[in-house]
Amino acid sequence: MSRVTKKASSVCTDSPLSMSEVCQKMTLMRQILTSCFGPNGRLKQVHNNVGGHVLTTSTSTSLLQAVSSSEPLLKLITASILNHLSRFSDCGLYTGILCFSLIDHVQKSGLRPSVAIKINKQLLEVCTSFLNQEDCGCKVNVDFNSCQSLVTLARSVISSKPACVLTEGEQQHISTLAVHAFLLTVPCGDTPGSPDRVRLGKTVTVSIEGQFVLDSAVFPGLLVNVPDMQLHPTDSERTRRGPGPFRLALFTVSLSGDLSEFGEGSLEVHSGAPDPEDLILDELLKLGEQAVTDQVEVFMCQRVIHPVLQHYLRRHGVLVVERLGIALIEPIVQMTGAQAVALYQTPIPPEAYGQVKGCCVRTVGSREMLHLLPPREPAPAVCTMVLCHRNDTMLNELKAVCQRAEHVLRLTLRDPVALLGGGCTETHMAAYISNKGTTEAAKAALSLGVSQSQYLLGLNGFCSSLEAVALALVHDGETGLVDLSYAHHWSVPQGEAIHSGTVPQGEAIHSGTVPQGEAIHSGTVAQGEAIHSGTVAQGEAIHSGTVPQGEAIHSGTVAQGEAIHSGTVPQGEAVQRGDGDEVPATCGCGLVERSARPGLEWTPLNTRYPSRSAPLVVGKDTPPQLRVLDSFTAKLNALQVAVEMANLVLDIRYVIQDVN
Amino acid sequence: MGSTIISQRLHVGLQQLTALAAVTHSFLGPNKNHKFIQDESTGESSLVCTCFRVLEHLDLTCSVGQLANETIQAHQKVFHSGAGCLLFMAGVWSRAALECLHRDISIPHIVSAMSEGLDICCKVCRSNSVSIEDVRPNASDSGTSVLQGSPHTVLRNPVTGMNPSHGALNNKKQSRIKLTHSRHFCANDEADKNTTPGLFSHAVSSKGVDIAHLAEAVSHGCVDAMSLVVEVSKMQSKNNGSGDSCRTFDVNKLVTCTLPGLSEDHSCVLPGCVILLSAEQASLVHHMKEQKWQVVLINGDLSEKYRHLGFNSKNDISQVTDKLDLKGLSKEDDWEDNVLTTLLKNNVNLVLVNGEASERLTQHCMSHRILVVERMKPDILKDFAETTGAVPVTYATQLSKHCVGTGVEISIWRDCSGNRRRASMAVNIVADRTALVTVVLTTSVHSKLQTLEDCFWGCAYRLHHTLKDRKLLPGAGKTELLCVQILQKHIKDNGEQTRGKDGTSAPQAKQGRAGNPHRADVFQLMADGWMDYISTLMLNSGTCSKVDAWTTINQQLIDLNGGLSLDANFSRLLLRDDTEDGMMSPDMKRSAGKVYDNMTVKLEAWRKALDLVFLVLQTDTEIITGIDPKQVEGQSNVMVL
Repeated sequence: MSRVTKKASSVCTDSPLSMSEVCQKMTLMRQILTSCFGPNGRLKQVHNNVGGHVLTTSTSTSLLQAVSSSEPLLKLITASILNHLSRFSDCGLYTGILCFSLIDHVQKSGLRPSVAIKINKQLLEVCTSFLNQEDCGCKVNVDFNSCQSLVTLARSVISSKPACVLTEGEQQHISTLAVHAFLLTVPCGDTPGSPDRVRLGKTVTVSIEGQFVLDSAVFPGLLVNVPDMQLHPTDSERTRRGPGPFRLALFTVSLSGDLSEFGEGSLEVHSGAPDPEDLILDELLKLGEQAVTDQVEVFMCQRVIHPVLQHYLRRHGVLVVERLGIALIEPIVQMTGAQAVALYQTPIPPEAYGQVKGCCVRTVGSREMLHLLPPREPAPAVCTMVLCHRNDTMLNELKAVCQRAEHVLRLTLRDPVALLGGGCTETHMAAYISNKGTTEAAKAALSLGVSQSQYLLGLNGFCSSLEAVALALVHDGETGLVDLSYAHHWSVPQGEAIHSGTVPQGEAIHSGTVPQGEAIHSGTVAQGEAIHSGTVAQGEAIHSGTVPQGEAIHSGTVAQGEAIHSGTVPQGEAVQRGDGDEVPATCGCGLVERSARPGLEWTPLNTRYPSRSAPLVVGKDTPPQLRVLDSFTAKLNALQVAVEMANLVLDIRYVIQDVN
Repeated sequence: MGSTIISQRLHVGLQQLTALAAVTHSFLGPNKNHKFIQDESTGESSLVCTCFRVLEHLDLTCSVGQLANETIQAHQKVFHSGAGCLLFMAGVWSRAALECLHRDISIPHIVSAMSEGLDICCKVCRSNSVSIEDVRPNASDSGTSVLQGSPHTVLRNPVTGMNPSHGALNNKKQSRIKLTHSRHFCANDEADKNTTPGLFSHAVSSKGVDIAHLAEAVSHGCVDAMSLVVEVSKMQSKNNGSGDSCRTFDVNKLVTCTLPGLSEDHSCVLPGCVILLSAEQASLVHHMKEQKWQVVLINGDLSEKYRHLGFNSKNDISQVTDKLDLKGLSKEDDWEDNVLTTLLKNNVNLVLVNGEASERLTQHCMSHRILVVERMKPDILKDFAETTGAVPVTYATQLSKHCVGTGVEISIWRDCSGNRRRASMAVNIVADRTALVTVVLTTSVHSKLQTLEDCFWGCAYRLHHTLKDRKLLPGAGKTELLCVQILQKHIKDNGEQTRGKDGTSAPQAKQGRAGNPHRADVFQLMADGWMDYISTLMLNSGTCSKVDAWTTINQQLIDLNGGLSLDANFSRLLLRDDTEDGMMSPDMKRSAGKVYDNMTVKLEAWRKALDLVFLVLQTDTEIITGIDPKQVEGQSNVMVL
């Protein structure tokens, strides 16, 4: 009986983006990614339906790997984000949010996909060339003469994941360690053999649960796990013996002495003949003899070593370590210069031996580990990062974040620049493109073969999508603002009244007849949100009795210049000036300081404002301490992936699914 | 297969955490109420009285439960104490967080204020900790305290006598690496600090303090268990030549052996290890009394079939022969002869096996007056390897002269037969110079064994941490009261600051702090969590109802009014025994007011509790993977991806 059920025919979906179910799922995915974004992002608990391990994370890599969707379009997007992450480690959520946002805006604008795709492509080029400009306003050079920018870069990555649950001191400690580890893996001088190529070393991460975060540390060389019983008295003696270098032999083949390598099939042994197991053991002991005569002092194996061989080697003062695992082999090869031997039947070739400067036993947290010191300084350095955290969930997140930080730091070697973080790059770039696109709309529209109004519509969608990313950093009823001079991103905490208005500081609202001391509200004031009430007639006071205390606006504070809003402010003028208390002291990245730049004006993000002048570039002669920096390389690629993915998804006409 | 999303806007997680924590409320304080956990499906039940055992036995299906369990087990693994405090605080603080949410305080504000609150309190607790030298025995002899020599931790290393500052306990770094412009940072001298030259010693000797008094201070009502711990310390001190007094305590050289059937006052402390042997084997021990014997140690099983871990046995090897085997000797016989010859040649009298031993060989050995003991704990084998000089081997055929250890004494400790189906004898095996000490825990109620063991280890680790920290926190709720007081002080100051602020004059730093408008609210709710802790403690002590407790605590707070010293009467109140059955022993009454808690354990438990609350608080979505979308259709709170 071959097949009982008839093969079902494939299911074809016409214009999938127009299906409400697809849209719903895309919105859901977008919400998930958006709510994870940034240091105040929300965590997700992921587990399977039979009660498996609970994953608590807001990291795109872990999240997207764990969560699967039944929707092909979502699978496509997820796969491309994961692909981006495998190359750059960073900006996964960014890619997703931007991509979904672009699709959403195109759908809302009513532009034909083909038109939108053309415009998006052109704008992507503008963005890329803008970011690559020498004088780009959202770029800073990474100065290798000091650790400051590297640490900031690392800390931005590390502090972006709340599931690490680190205090500020702990964040600083881990960021410093990440930079330390990174610097240790950069070789000094040329790599022997290939003078024009630099080979970076490796960082091996060891994670220990239940210890203090501040016990995390970085060690040059490698820490190898050796189970308790393996640390025989002879071994510990060896670790204390004088300075090296010691000769090291490394095996990848199993030295357990079993017959597994003969493969399947049965074996017939003549009763008079010696036992095959004994023969193999003899072979192994011969190997041991050679190691001892060659003065090998450290004998390591990826897999199991026969206890008799171990015993023999230890008797001759050799330090024996077995079951290293595959992950450690490459770092050991890199550090010691040894060649991993995959055969035990022949003598060890002399060039296969490596060297270590010394070994000692180190107590990390609750574990005792063998520390192998690198043989000489200029070799491609290998280091070990020991990460400790209070519980497994936070430790896993910390581990992921540290690996990401390491990758981000490495990317600076290729492009020694970084982008302003905290959403400032996005708002600044959006302002730049908006300005450039508007002024050159006619030309661009002509060259693309679209109408000017179509172009402006597309442009607006693109800029809004960029700003949507910055806005995604804002949670908990905070409000995202953008200043009109430098187009940096500012976020205002919840509970502070935020309004747009042209009223200078200290002056009451221009709805002239409102008696002072009386509350002015539009009836629909949402809690902590920016208020644009277009319907409030001038001079009319509306009292909303339901606004909870402290959440909305009372005219008691109006006199202090805090709560001012009006319905009749013409669009484009809806800005706030002065230094009202609610706007924080610095912008998202920390480059623009309110105190240093009086007369700044703000407007809520993603409000339409008419064309404005190109954003100013902040002079970086005496830059204040930057708080947040993002990886340039990763973000540039993320931008490209997001736009291209969005274009691809917009271009999809049919989805054909094989349902068998 | 798709994924399902449950949005948790209602913060069910925090409620679940509170509910879970409530289960363990009755474990707080010295008078613990036991709990029965019954499994409906199997009919099994178990008696528990510690927080981590409860979680172990619960079927935690909710994700929050799993997260809590993970945290508790991790804490238990490292500290072996304080898990109850952790879960309790996680419960009350998640209620506090929930209340904050109800008051519309945003999550970042809650997180920052709560962690600030904990930081403040931890700092104050650290500075108000009591040095163990200052933990005086009792008023009568406190004048002639045993303060001799400089009071600092000395790490003893019997093997090498290495510099004490390089000891194993020194793994907490003294100074953090400072980032400099050098690419190698100056890590070298730092690097050497963490090396452990002596591998096996973890002993903490304490000059200038009497362990017995410290033990009493951290006994927390487990007087019997703690007196066993003191016995251990006495024995360990004697073993390394400190005489009769309690000078040293090494928790790593301690094993427990549980014997059901005997009444609880048979619990005792013995040097070396205690094992149960059959009557036959024990009869051999009768002949082995009062002599030093030679020992070998086997890692793994003692049988012909056994192969080391990682060895893939090939089953299809067949022997081909062209003549009849007339002797009829099997491979196993050969092996047995071989092993026996080796043992006899090397004058071995005792074989300690980690795994199982072949029964035939054991019998054979017995007839040659060689005792084979199987299923030895790895820790014990390790100690024998260190003290007798024996080299552990995997195969008995590997044995040679240098693998044999010397100086082992065997004696019969007690006849435990009669209460079991099989006759059994408890035998004591001691190696020369060993620091290993066995505590035999006995009870006539079988289901109490686990509880007794947990209680004993709790005491042992409390003493261990005391000696390790060399600092203690005032116990019996005094530290918590201090925290409440500090937070209230900050709330008051905060209020004054806000009132006094003209909007312009506030300095930058203060403005940053005051930038959190809900700080006072969060602090108050956090403090209430600690109040809840103290009141539960008082309730469990049987002194008063919860309401009375709150009143008393508030009165105390008013009385204190600024000063940070605490009235000893307060803690006496906690321990006042007016329960009818008189649960408190006279010892406990005497020690009232002299109760202390471990500092690192407590502060770390608080930190972990807050971690747990933060993780749950910041989670907004639960995603269940691998679900067929059709299953969940129609469920209102569920969305399908």
